[in-house]
Amino acid sequence: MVIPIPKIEVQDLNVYFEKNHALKNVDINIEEKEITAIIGPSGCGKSTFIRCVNRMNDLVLGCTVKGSVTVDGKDIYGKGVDAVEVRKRIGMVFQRPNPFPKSIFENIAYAPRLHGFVDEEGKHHSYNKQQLKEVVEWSLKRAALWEEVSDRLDKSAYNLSGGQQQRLCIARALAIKPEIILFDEPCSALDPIATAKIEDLLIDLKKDYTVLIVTHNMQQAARVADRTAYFYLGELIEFGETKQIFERPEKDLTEQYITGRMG
Amino acid sequence: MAKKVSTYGVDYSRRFTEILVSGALFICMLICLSVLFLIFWMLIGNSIPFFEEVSVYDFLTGDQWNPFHPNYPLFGVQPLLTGTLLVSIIAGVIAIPIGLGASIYISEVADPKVKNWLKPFIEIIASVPSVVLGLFAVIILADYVMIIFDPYSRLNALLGGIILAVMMIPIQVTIAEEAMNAVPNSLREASYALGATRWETIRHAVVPAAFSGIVASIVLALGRAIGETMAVTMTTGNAALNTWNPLYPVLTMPATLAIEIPEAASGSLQYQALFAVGLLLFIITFAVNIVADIVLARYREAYK
Repeated sequence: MVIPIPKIEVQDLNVYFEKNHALKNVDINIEEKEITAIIGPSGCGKSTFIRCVNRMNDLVLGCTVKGSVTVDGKDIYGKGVDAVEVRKRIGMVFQRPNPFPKSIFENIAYAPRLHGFVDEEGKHHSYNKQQLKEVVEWSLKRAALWEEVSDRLDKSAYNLSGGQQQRLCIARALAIKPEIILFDEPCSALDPIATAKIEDLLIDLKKDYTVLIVTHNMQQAARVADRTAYFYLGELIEFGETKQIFERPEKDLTEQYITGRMG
Repeated sequence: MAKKVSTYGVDYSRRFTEILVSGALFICMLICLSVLFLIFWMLIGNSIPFFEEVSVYDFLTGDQWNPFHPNYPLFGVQPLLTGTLLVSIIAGVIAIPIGLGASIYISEVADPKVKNWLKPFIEIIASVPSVVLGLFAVIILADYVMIIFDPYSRLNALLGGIILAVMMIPIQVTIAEEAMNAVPNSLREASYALGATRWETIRHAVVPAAFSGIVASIVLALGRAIGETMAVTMTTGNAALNTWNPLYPVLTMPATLAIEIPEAASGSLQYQALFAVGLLLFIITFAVNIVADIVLARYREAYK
Protein backbone atom coordinates (compact mmCIF):
# COMPACT_ATOMS: atom_id res chain seq x y z
CA MET A 1 0.00 0.00 0.00
CA VAL A 2 1.28 3.42 -0.94
CA ILE A 3 0.77 6.04 1.69
CA PRO A 4 0.21 9.36 -0.07
CA ILE A 5 2.30 12.25 1.17
CA PRO A 6 -0.04 15.06 2.19
CA LYS A 7 0.17 18.23 0.11
CA ILE A 8 -0.22 20.42 3.17
CA GLU A 9 0.74 19.32 6.66
CA VAL A 10 -0.36 21.54 9.52
CA GLN A 11 1.19 20.87 12.90
CA ASP A 12 0.34 22.44 16.23
CA LEU A 13 -0.93 25.64 14.63
CA ASN A 14 -1.81 28.43 17.04
CA VAL A 15 -2.93 31.89 15.98
CA TYR A 16 -3.36 34.93 18.20
CA PHE A 17 -4.87 38.30 17.37
CA GLU A 18 -3.40 40.51 20.09
CA LYS A 19 -4.61 38.45 23.09
CA ASN A 20 -7.42 36.61 21.36
CA HIS A 21 -6.47 32.97 20.85
CA ALA A 22 -8.11 32.38 17.45
CA LEU A 23 -6.78 28.94 16.53
CA LYS A 24 -5.80 26.31 19.08
CA ASN A 25 -3.40 23.45 18.43
CA VAL A 26 -4.66 22.59 14.96
CA ASP A 27 -3.21 19.47 13.32
CA ILE A 28 -4.50 18.56 9.90
CA ASN A 29 -3.23 16.99 6.67
CA ILE A 30 -4.60 18.12 3.33
CA GLU A 31 -4.34 15.59 0.51
CA GLU A 32 -3.26 16.44 -2.98
CA LYS A 33 -5.89 16.93 -5.71
CA GLU A 34 -8.79 16.70 -3.36
CA ILE A 35 -11.32 19.22 -2.16
CA THR A 36 -11.17 19.77 1.56
CA ALA A 37 -14.01 21.77 3.07
CA ILE A 38 -13.72 23.72 6.29
CA ILE A 39 -17.05 24.20 8.06
CA GLY A 40 -18.13 25.62 11.39
CA PRO A 41 -20.13 28.46 12.92
CA SER A 42 -19.13 32.12 12.48
CA GLY A 43 -16.03 33.09 14.40
CA CYS A 44 -14.78 29.52 14.71
CA GLY A 45 -11.49 30.30 12.97
CA LYS A 46 -12.24 28.86 9.51
CA SER A 47 -11.04 31.91 7.61
CA THR A 48 -8.14 32.42 9.98
CA PHE A 49 -7.06 28.87 9.28
CA ILE A 50 -7.22 29.13 5.49
CA ARG A 51 -5.35 32.44 5.63
CA CYS A 52 -2.49 30.72 7.40
CA VAL A 53 -1.90 28.50 4.40
CA ASN A 54 -0.80 31.41 2.18
CA ARG A 55 0.40 33.65 5.00
CA MET A 56 -2.28 36.28 4.43
CA ASN A 57 -2.49 36.65 8.21
CA ASP A 58 0.95 38.23 8.11
CA LEU A 59 -0.79 41.34 6.80
CA VAL A 60 -3.04 41.63 9.85
CA LEU A 61 -1.60 43.85 12.55
CA GLY A 62 -1.09 42.14 15.87
CA CYS A 63 -1.45 38.65 14.46
CA THR A 64 0.96 35.96 15.66
CA VAL A 65 1.20 32.51 14.11
CA LYS A 66 2.91 29.64 15.92
CA GLY A 67 3.44 26.08 14.73
CA SER A 68 4.20 24.86 11.25
CA VAL A 69 2.43 24.68 7.90
CA THR A 70 4.36 22.42 5.56
CA VAL A 71 3.62 22.66 1.85
CA ASP A 72 5.35 20.08 -0.37
CA GLY A 73 7.73 19.28 2.46
CA LYS A 74 8.72 22.89 3.16
CA ASP A 75 7.62 24.78 6.26
CA ILE A 76 6.25 28.07 4.92
CA TYR A 77 6.69 29.64 8.37
CA GLY A 78 10.28 28.46 8.51
CA LYS A 79 13.35 30.66 8.54
CA GLY A 80 14.24 32.40 5.31
CA VAL A 81 10.82 31.91 3.74
CA ASP A 82 9.39 35.02 2.09
CA ALA A 83 5.61 35.35 2.45
CA VAL A 84 5.44 37.01 -0.97
CA GLU A 85 7.01 33.93 -2.57
CA VAL A 86 4.50 31.70 -0.75
CA ARG A 87 1.55 33.71 -2.07
CA LYS A 88 3.00 33.60 -5.57
CA ARG A 89 2.48 29.85 -5.59
CA ILE A 90 -0.87 29.54 -3.80
CA GLY A 91 -4.05 30.96 -5.34
CA MET A 92 -6.78 32.56 -3.24
CA VAL A 93 -10.39 33.51 -3.92
CA PHE A 94 -12.29 35.68 -1.47
CA GLN A 95 -15.82 35.98 -0.07
CA ARG A 96 -16.84 38.83 -2.32
CA PRO A 97 -15.65 39.04 -5.90
CA ASN A 98 -12.84 41.61 -5.84
CA PRO A 99 -11.75 42.30 -9.41
CA PHE A 100 -9.44 45.25 -9.98
CA PRO A 101 -11.01 48.31 -11.61
CA LYS A 102 -9.31 47.33 -14.85
CA SER A 103 -10.29 45.46 -17.99
CA ILE A 104 -10.99 41.73 -17.93
CA PHE A 105 -7.68 41.12 -19.71
CA GLU A 106 -5.69 43.28 -17.30
CA ASN A 107 -7.24 41.54 -14.30
CA ILE A 108 -5.93 38.17 -15.44
CA ALA A 109 -2.62 39.58 -16.69
CA TYR A 110 -1.96 41.32 -13.36
CA ALA A 111 0.12 38.60 -11.70
CA PRO A 112 1.77 37.19 -14.87
CA ARG A 113 3.01 40.68 -15.68
CA LEU A 114 4.52 41.03 -12.20
CA HIS A 115 6.07 37.60 -11.91
CA GLY A 116 7.01 36.50 -15.42
CA PHE A 117 7.74 32.79 -15.69
CA VAL A 118 10.59 30.34 -15.25
CA ASP A 119 11.49 28.00 -18.12
CA GLU A 120 12.71 24.39 -17.94
CA GLU A 121 16.30 25.50 -17.49
CA GLY A 122 15.33 27.63 -14.53
CA LYS A 123 15.76 30.94 -16.34
CA HIS A 124 13.46 33.82 -15.55
CA HIS A 125 11.54 35.52 -18.37
CA SER A 126 8.86 38.14 -18.58
CA TYR A 127 5.84 37.41 -20.75
CA ASN A 128 5.70 38.92 -24.20
CA LYS A 129 2.38 40.11 -25.63
CA GLN A 130 1.54 36.84 -27.34
CA GLN A 131 2.40 34.72 -24.29
CA LEU A 132 0.36 37.04 -22.09
CA LYS A 133 -2.63 36.57 -24.40
CA GLU A 134 -2.18 32.83 -24.17
CA VAL A 135 -2.06 32.85 -20.38
CA VAL A 136 -5.18 35.01 -20.20
CA GLU A 137 -7.05 32.76 -22.62
CA TRP A 138 -5.91 29.61 -20.84
CA SER A 139 -6.91 30.96 -17.42
CA LEU A 140 -10.33 32.13 -18.58
CA LYS A 141 -11.00 28.79 -20.28
CA ARG A 142 -9.91 26.88 -17.19
CA ALA A 143 -12.31 29.00 -15.10
CA ALA A 144 -15.15 28.36 -17.59
CA LEU A 145 -15.50 32.05 -18.37
CA TRP A 146 -13.87 32.30 -21.80
CA GLU A 147 -17.04 31.70 -23.83
CA GLU A 148 -18.84 34.51 -22.04
CA VAL A 149 -16.14 37.18 -22.23
CA SER A 150 -13.85 36.37 -25.16
CA ASP A 151 -15.35 39.19 -27.26
CA ARG A 152 -14.96 41.87 -24.59
CA LEU A 153 -11.64 41.29 -22.88
CA ASP A 154 -10.89 45.02 -23.06
CA LYS A 155 -14.07 45.95 -21.18
CA SER A 156 -14.15 46.69 -17.47
CA ALA A 157 -14.44 43.70 -15.17
CA TYR A 158 -17.06 45.68 -13.26
CA ASN A 159 -19.57 45.13 -16.07
CA LEU A 160 -19.67 41.39 -15.33
CA SER A 161 -22.30 39.82 -13.09
CA GLY A 162 -21.35 38.76 -9.57
CA GLY A 163 -20.94 35.12 -10.56
CA GLN A 164 -18.85 36.03 -13.60
CA GLN A 165 -16.71 38.33 -11.46
CA GLN A 166 -16.07 35.48 -9.05
CA ARG A 167 -15.04 33.17 -11.89
CA LEU A 168 -12.82 36.00 -13.13
CA CYS A 169 -11.18 36.05 -9.70
CA ILE A 170 -10.68 32.28 -9.99
CA ALA A 171 -9.12 32.74 -13.43
CA ARG A 172 -6.92 35.47 -12.02
CA ALA A 173 -5.71 33.09 -9.30
CA LEU A 174 -5.12 30.33 -11.88
CA ALA A 175 -2.93 32.66 -13.91
CA ILE A 176 -0.16 32.41 -11.29
CA LYS A 177 -0.10 28.64 -12.07
CA PRO A 178 -0.59 27.52 -8.48
CA GLU A 179 -0.91 23.93 -7.28
CA ILE A 180 -3.10 24.90 -4.33
CA ILE A 181 -6.14 27.17 -4.44
CA LEU A 182 -7.81 28.53 -1.32
CA PHE A 183 -11.47 29.54 -1.42
CA ASP A 184 -12.77 31.68 1.44
CA GLU A 185 -16.57 31.32 1.23
CA PRO A 186 -16.52 31.97 -2.52
CA CYS A 187 -20.29 31.73 -2.97
CA SER A 188 -21.52 33.74 0.00
CA ALA A 189 -22.36 36.73 -2.22
CA LEU A 190 -23.80 34.74 -5.12
CA ASP A 191 -27.25 33.49 -6.15
CA PRO A 192 -27.96 29.72 -6.42
CA ILE A 193 -27.34 29.50 -10.18
CA ALA A 194 -23.99 31.28 -9.98
CA THR A 195 -23.16 29.11 -6.96
CA ALA A 196 -23.90 25.93 -8.91
CA LYS A 197 -21.55 27.05 -11.69
CA ILE A 198 -18.76 27.69 -9.19
CA GLU A 199 -19.35 24.28 -7.59
CA ASP A 200 -19.11 22.55 -10.97
CA LEU A 201 -15.92 24.43 -11.58
CA LEU A 202 -14.51 23.40 -8.20
CA ILE A 203 -15.08 19.73 -8.98
CA ASP A 204 -13.44 20.21 -12.36
CA LEU A 205 -10.45 22.03 -10.83
CA LYS A 206 -9.86 19.11 -8.45
CA LYS A 207 -8.31 17.16 -11.32
CA ASP A 208 -5.31 19.49 -11.35
CA TYR A 209 -5.36 21.38 -8.09
CA THR A 210 -5.50 20.87 -4.36
CA VAL A 211 -8.52 22.83 -3.21
CA LEU A 212 -9.28 24.13 0.26
CA ILE A 213 -12.68 25.73 0.70
CA VAL A 214 -14.20 27.50 3.66
CA THR A 215 -17.96 27.43 3.51
CA HIS A 216 -20.93 28.45 5.57
CA ASN A 217 -23.12 26.23 3.53
CA MET A 218 -23.10 22.63 4.72
CA GLN A 219 -24.88 21.35 1.62
CA GLN A 220 -22.09 22.87 -0.41
CA ALA A 221 -19.48 20.99 1.60
CA ALA A 222 -21.48 17.78 1.19
CA ARG A 223 -21.78 18.34 -2.56
CA VAL A 224 -18.20 19.17 -3.45
CA ALA A 225 -15.78 18.08 -0.75
CA ASP A 226 -13.86 14.83 -0.47
CA ARG A 227 -12.98 15.56 3.12
CA THR A 228 -14.50 17.93 5.61
CA ALA A 229 -13.07 19.53 8.71
CA TYR A 230 -15.30 20.92 11.42
CA PHE A 231 -13.96 23.83 13.47
CA TYR A 232 -15.51 25.15 16.65
CA LEU A 233 -14.19 28.00 18.81
CA GLY A 234 -10.76 27.83 17.23
CA GLU A 235 -10.35 24.10 17.59
CA LEU A 236 -10.45 21.39 14.97
CA ILE A 237 -13.20 19.15 16.34
CA GLU A 238 -13.40 16.53 13.64
CA PHE A 239 -11.85 15.79 10.28
CA GLY A 240 -12.61 12.95 7.92
CA GLU A 241 -14.25 11.82 4.72
CA THR A 242 -17.19 14.08 3.93
CA LYS A 243 -19.62 11.17 3.82
CA GLN A 244 -18.55 10.01 7.25
CA ILE A 245 -18.70 13.51 8.76
CA PHE A 246 -22.23 14.06 7.54
CA GLU A 247 -23.60 10.57 8.06
CA ARG A 248 -21.74 9.23 11.08
CA PRO A 249 -20.05 12.07 12.93
CA GLU A 250 -17.97 10.78 15.82
CA LYS A 251 -18.19 13.87 18.01
CA ASP A 252 -21.34 15.27 19.56
CA LEU A 253 -20.36 18.84 18.65
CA THR A 254 -20.10 17.91 14.97
CA GLU A 255 -23.46 16.20 15.04
CA GLN A 256 -25.10 19.16 16.74
CA TYR A 257 -23.76 21.47 14.04
CA ILE A 258 -24.61 19.40 10.99
CA THR A 259 -28.09 18.62 12.25
CA GLY A 260 -28.66 22.32 12.74
CA ARG A 261 -28.98 22.33 16.48
CA MET A 262 -26.13 24.82 16.78
CA GLY A 263 -24.43 27.51 14.76
CA MET B 1 -54.26 56.04 26.75
CA ALA B 2 -56.60 56.07 23.79
CA LYS B 3 -55.00 55.95 20.39
CA LYS B 4 -55.87 58.83 18.13
CA VAL B 5 -57.47 57.70 14.89
CA SER B 6 -55.79 59.18 11.85
CA THR B 7 -58.02 61.02 9.43
CA TYR B 8 -55.45 61.16 6.61
CA GLY B 9 -56.25 64.86 6.23
CA VAL B 10 -53.80 67.49 5.07
CA ASP B 11 -51.52 68.81 7.80
CA TYR B 12 -51.13 72.40 6.60
CA SER B 13 -48.46 73.43 9.06
CA ARG B 14 -46.15 70.59 8.00
CA ARG B 15 -46.80 71.23 4.35
CA PHE B 16 -46.02 74.92 4.85
CA THR B 17 -42.70 74.03 6.49
CA GLU B 18 -41.81 71.88 3.48
CA ILE B 19 -42.42 74.75 1.08
CA LEU B 20 -40.55 77.18 3.31
CA VAL B 21 -37.47 74.94 3.58
CA SER B 22 -37.35 74.20 -0.15
CA GLY B 23 -37.64 77.92 -0.86
CA ALA B 24 -34.85 78.82 1.59
CA LEU B 25 -32.55 76.18 0.12
CA PHE B 26 -33.28 77.41 -3.39
CA ILE B 27 -32.35 80.96 -2.41
CA CYS B 28 -29.03 79.79 -0.94
CA MET B 29 -28.24 78.00 -4.19
CA LEU B 30 -29.25 81.09 -6.19
CA ILE B 31 -26.88 83.29 -4.20
CA CYS B 32 -23.96 80.98 -4.91
CA LEU B 33 -24.78 80.84 -8.60
CA SER B 34 -25.31 84.56 -8.95
CA VAL B 35 -21.90 85.32 -7.41
CA LEU B 36 -20.30 83.40 -10.26
CA PHE B 37 -22.32 85.30 -12.86
CA LEU B 38 -21.61 88.64 -11.21
CA ILE B 39 -17.88 88.00 -11.29
CA PHE B 40 -17.99 86.93 -14.89
CA TRP B 41 -20.13 89.94 -15.80
CA MET B 42 -17.81 92.34 -13.98
CA LEU B 43 -14.71 90.94 -15.73
CA ILE B 44 -16.27 90.96 -19.19
CA GLY B 45 -18.03 94.29 -18.74
CA ASN B 46 -14.79 96.04 -17.79
CA SER B 47 -12.67 94.22 -20.37
CA ILE B 48 -14.79 95.11 -23.41
CA PRO B 49 -13.86 98.82 -23.44
CA PHE B 50 -10.20 97.79 -23.17
CA PHE B 51 -10.39 95.48 -26.15
CA GLU B 52 -11.95 98.31 -28.15
CA GLU B 53 -8.70 100.24 -27.66
CA VAL B 54 -6.18 97.40 -27.78
CA SER B 55 -6.82 94.38 -29.99
CA VAL B 56 -7.09 90.92 -28.43
CA TYR B 57 -4.19 89.84 -30.67
CA ASP B 58 -1.91 92.60 -29.42
CA PHE B 59 -2.89 91.89 -25.85
CA LEU B 60 -2.15 88.17 -26.11
CA THR B 61 1.04 88.37 -28.17
CA GLY B 62 2.59 91.61 -26.93
CA ASP B 63 5.81 90.86 -25.07
CA GLN B 64 5.98 94.04 -23.03
CA TRP B 65 3.84 95.03 -20.10
CA ASN B 66 4.17 98.67 -19.16
CA PRO B 67 0.68 100.11 -18.70
CA PHE B 68 1.80 103.22 -16.81
CA HIS B 69 4.23 104.59 -19.36
CA PRO B 70 3.19 108.25 -19.79
CA ASN B 71 3.50 108.31 -23.58
CA TYR B 72 3.56 104.75 -24.88
CA PRO B 73 1.71 102.42 -22.49
CA LEU B 74 2.25 98.78 -23.49
CA PHE B 75 -0.33 96.10 -22.77
CA GLY B 76 1.35 92.86 -23.84
CA VAL B 77 0.25 90.12 -21.46
CA GLN B 78 3.01 87.67 -22.49
CA PRO B 79 5.40 88.48 -19.60
CA LEU B 80 2.58 88.02 -17.06
CA LEU B 81 1.39 84.81 -18.66
CA THR B 82 4.92 83.46 -18.78
CA GLY B 83 5.52 84.51 -15.17
CA THR B 84 2.34 82.81 -13.94
CA LEU B 85 2.99 79.61 -15.86
CA LEU B 86 6.67 79.51 -14.91
CA VAL B 87 5.96 79.86 -11.18
CA SER B 88 3.11 77.32 -11.38
CA ILE B 89 5.22 74.82 -13.30
CA ILE B 90 8.07 75.11 -10.80
CA ALA B 91 5.58 74.62 -7.98
CA GLY B 92 4.01 71.64 -9.74
CA VAL B 93 7.33 69.97 -10.49
CA ILE B 94 8.28 70.20 -6.82
CA ALA B 95 4.89 69.57 -5.22
CA ILE B 96 3.39 66.78 -7.36
CA PRO B 97 6.01 64.09 -6.68
CA ILE B 98 6.48 65.08 -3.03
CA GLY B 99 2.74 65.34 -2.41
CA LEU B 100 2.09 62.02 -4.09
CA GLY B 101 4.90 60.34 -2.16
CA ALA B 102 3.70 61.76 1.15
CA SER B 103 0.09 60.74 0.53
CA ILE B 104 1.14 57.21 -0.42
CA TYR B 105 3.29 57.00 2.69
CA ILE B 106 0.48 58.16 4.98
CA SER B 107 -2.18 55.99 3.36
CA GLU B 108 -0.27 52.79 2.61
CA VAL B 109 2.98 52.60 4.53
CA ALA B 110 2.63 54.38 7.87
CA ASP B 111 1.60 52.52 10.99
CA PRO B 112 -2.08 53.38 11.77
CA LYS B 113 -1.04 55.00 15.04
CA VAL B 114 1.51 57.21 13.32
CA LYS B 115 -0.97 57.98 10.55
CA ASN B 116 -3.44 59.41 13.04
CA TRP B 117 -1.17 62.26 14.02
CA LEU B 118 0.74 62.57 10.75
CA LYS B 119 -2.25 63.65 8.70
CA PRO B 120 -3.47 66.51 10.91
CA PHE B 121 0.13 67.64 11.14
CA ILE B 122 0.37 68.07 7.38
CA GLU B 123 -3.06 69.68 7.27
CA ILE B 124 -1.80 72.38 9.65
CA ILE B 125 0.40 73.67 6.81
CA ALA B 126 -2.79 74.40 4.86
CA SER B 127 -4.01 76.58 7.72
CA VAL B 128 -0.92 78.81 7.74
CA PRO B 129 -1.93 82.16 6.20
CA SER B 130 -0.22 82.69 2.84
CA VAL B 131 1.23 86.00 4.01
CA VAL B 132 3.06 84.13 6.78
CA LEU B 133 4.42 81.63 4.27
CA GLY B 134 5.48 84.54 2.08
CA LEU B 135 7.31 86.07 5.01
CA PHE B 136 9.03 82.78 5.75
CA ALA B 137 10.11 82.54 2.12
CA VAL B 138 11.45 86.07 1.93
CA ILE B 139 13.33 86.01 5.22
CA ILE B 140 14.60 82.44 5.53
CA LEU B 141 14.12 80.45 2.34
CA ALA B 142 15.55 83.22 0.16
CA ASP B 143 18.92 82.89 1.92
CA TYR B 144 19.18 79.22 0.99
CA VAL B 145 18.04 79.84 -2.57
CA MET B 146 20.74 82.52 -2.81
CA ILE B 147 23.43 80.14 -1.58
CA ILE B 148 22.39 77.07 -3.56
CA PHE B 149 21.20 78.49 -6.89
CA ASP B 150 22.90 81.89 -7.03
CA PRO B 151 19.93 83.60 -8.71
CA TYR B 152 19.95 86.91 -10.57
CA SER B 153 18.07 88.58 -7.75
CA ARG B 154 17.08 87.64 -4.22
CA LEU B 155 13.40 87.55 -5.16
CA ASN B 156 12.80 85.32 -8.17
CA ALA B 157 10.49 82.81 -9.85
CA LEU B 158 12.18 79.84 -8.18
CA LEU B 159 11.58 81.21 -4.69
CA GLY B 160 7.94 81.85 -5.58
CA GLY B 161 7.61 78.35 -7.03
CA ILE B 162 9.06 76.76 -3.90
CA ILE B 163 6.70 78.56 -1.54
CA LEU B 164 3.77 77.77 -3.83
CA ALA B 165 4.77 74.11 -3.69
CA VAL B 166 4.63 74.32 0.10
CA MET B 167 1.05 75.55 -0.24
CA MET B 168 0.10 72.92 -2.82
CA ILE B 169 1.35 69.90 -0.91
CA PRO B 170 -1.17 69.84 1.97
CA ILE B 171 -4.10 70.24 -0.44
CA GLN B 172 -2.78 67.43 -2.57
CA VAL B 173 -1.98 65.15 0.36
CA THR B 174 -5.39 65.62 1.98
CA ILE B 175 -7.36 64.76 -1.15
CA ALA B 176 -5.07 62.07 -2.55
CA GLU B 177 -4.78 60.32 0.81
CA GLU B 178 -8.57 60.27 1.12
CA ALA B 179 -8.87 58.80 -2.37
CA MET B 180 -6.40 56.04 -1.57
CA ASN B 181 -8.01 55.40 1.80
CA ALA B 182 -11.31 54.88 -0.01
CA VAL B 183 -9.84 52.03 -2.07
CA PRO B 184 -11.45 48.93 -0.57
CA ASN B 185 -9.12 46.64 1.35
CA SER B 186 -10.37 43.71 -0.73
CA LEU B 187 -8.37 45.08 -3.68
CA ARG B 188 -5.18 45.16 -1.64
CA GLU B 189 -5.87 41.61 -0.47
CA ALA B 190 -6.45 40.49 -4.06
CA SER B 191 -3.08 41.89 -5.03
CA TYR B 192 -1.20 40.46 -2.06
CA ALA B 193 -2.83 37.06 -2.58
CA LEU B 194 -1.41 37.05 -6.11
CA GLY B 195 2.07 37.37 -4.66
CA ALA B 196 2.53 41.10 -5.17
CA THR B 197 4.80 43.02 -2.83
CA ARG B 198 3.63 46.13 -1.01
CA TRP B 199 5.15 48.44 -3.61
CA GLU B 200 3.69 46.41 -6.48
CA THR B 201 0.30 46.55 -4.77
CA ILE B 202 0.52 50.32 -4.36
CA ARG B 203 1.67 50.90 -7.91
CA HIS B 204 -0.59 48.49 -9.78
CA ALA B 205 -3.69 48.19 -7.59
CA VAL B 206 -4.12 51.12 -5.17
CA VAL B 207 -2.91 54.07 -7.26
CA PRO B 208 -4.86 53.06 -10.41
CA ALA B 209 -8.00 52.53 -8.33
CA ALA B 210 -7.60 55.97 -6.74
CA PHE B 211 -6.46 57.60 -9.97
CA SER B 212 -9.39 59.97 -10.35
CA GLY B 213 -8.95 61.28 -6.81
CA ILE B 214 -5.22 61.69 -7.33
CA VAL B 215 -5.76 63.67 -10.54
CA ALA B 216 -8.33 65.80 -8.74
CA SER B 217 -5.85 66.49 -5.94
CA ILE B 218 -3.20 67.65 -8.40
CA VAL B 219 -5.58 69.82 -10.40
CA LEU B 220 -7.07 71.47 -7.33
CA ALA B 221 -3.60 72.17 -5.96
CA LEU B 222 -2.47 73.57 -9.32
CA GLY B 223 -5.57 75.74 -9.47
CA ARG B 224 -4.60 77.10 -6.09
CA ALA B 225 -1.05 77.76 -7.32
CA ILE B 226 -2.14 79.61 -10.45
CA GLY B 227 -4.47 81.91 -8.55
CA GLU B 228 -2.36 82.42 -5.42
CA THR B 229 -1.57 86.09 -4.89
CA MET B 230 -0.02 87.11 -1.61
CA ALA B 231 2.89 84.71 -1.26
CA VAL B 232 3.73 85.10 -4.93
CA THR B 233 3.63 88.88 -4.80
CA MET B 234 6.01 88.83 -1.87
CA THR B 235 8.53 86.42 -3.37
CA THR B 236 8.79 86.68 -7.15
CA GLY B 237 10.31 90.16 -7.44
CA ASN B 238 7.48 91.47 -9.64
CA ALA B 239 9.46 92.54 -12.70
CA ALA B 240 7.58 92.01 -15.95
CA LEU B 241 10.47 90.28 -17.69
CA ASN B 242 9.44 87.97 -20.48
CA THR B 243 11.64 85.07 -19.38
CA TRP B 244 11.44 81.34 -18.69
CA ASN B 245 14.58 81.48 -16.53
CA PRO B 246 13.56 80.52 -12.98
CA LEU B 247 16.44 82.52 -11.50
CA TYR B 248 15.03 85.84 -12.74
CA PRO B 249 12.28 87.88 -11.13
CA VAL B 250 8.88 87.58 -12.78
CA LEU B 251 5.48 89.25 -12.52
CA THR B 252 2.49 86.94 -12.29
CA MET B 253 -1.06 87.84 -13.25
CA PRO B 254 -2.48 87.76 -9.71
CA ALA B 255 0.43 89.87 -8.46
CA THR B 256 -0.18 92.35 -11.28
CA LEU B 257 -3.76 92.82 -10.19
CA ALA B 258 -2.83 93.14 -6.53
CA ILE B 259 -0.10 95.69 -7.18
CA GLU B 260 -1.49 97.77 -10.01
CA ILE B 261 -5.23 98.02 -9.30
CA PRO B 262 -4.63 100.50 -6.44
CA GLU B 263 -2.46 102.62 -8.74
CA ALA B 264 -4.82 102.74 -11.71
CA ALA B 265 -7.40 105.49 -11.96
CA SER B 266 -10.87 103.99 -11.91
CA GLY B 267 -12.22 103.71 -15.44
CA SER B 268 -8.87 104.44 -17.11
CA LEU B 269 -7.42 102.24 -19.84
CA GLN B 270 -4.91 100.79 -17.34
CA TYR B 271 -7.76 99.97 -15.00
CA GLN B 272 -9.64 98.18 -17.76
CA ALA B 273 -6.48 96.38 -18.90
CA LEU B 274 -6.20 94.85 -15.42
CA PHE B 275 -9.72 93.47 -15.74
CA ALA B 276 -8.68 91.91 -19.03
CA VAL B 277 -5.80 90.24 -17.17
CA GLY B 278 -8.26 89.07 -14.53
CA LEU B 279 -10.52 87.67 -17.24
CA LEU B 280 -7.62 85.76 -18.80
CA LEU B 281 -6.65 84.37 -15.39
CA PHE B 282 -10.24 83.28 -14.81
CA ILE B 283 -10.36 81.58 -18.23
CA ILE B 284 -7.12 79.69 -17.48
CA THR B 285 -8.26 78.34 -14.12
CA PHE B 286 -11.65 77.54 -15.63
CA ALA B 287 -9.96 75.64 -18.48
CA VAL B 288 -7.79 73.68 -16.03
CA ASN B 289 -10.92 72.52 -14.23
CA ILE B 290 -12.69 71.60 -17.47
CA VAL B 291 -9.69 69.58 -18.66
CA ALA B 292 -9.63 67.77 -15.32
CA ASP B 293 -13.33 66.97 -15.62
CA ILE B 294 -12.83 65.53 -19.10
CA VAL B 295 -9.89 63.39 -17.98
CA LEU B 296 -11.88 62.11 -15.02
CA ALA B 297 -14.99 61.39 -17.09
CA ARG B 298 -12.97 59.42 -19.63
CA TYR B 299 -11.28 57.43 -16.89
CA ARG B 300 -14.59 56.62 -15.23
CA GLU B 301 -16.11 55.52 -18.51
CA ALA B 302 -13.27 53.11 -19.08
CA TYR B 303 -13.28 51.48 -15.67
CA LYS B 304 -16.77 51.69 -14.20
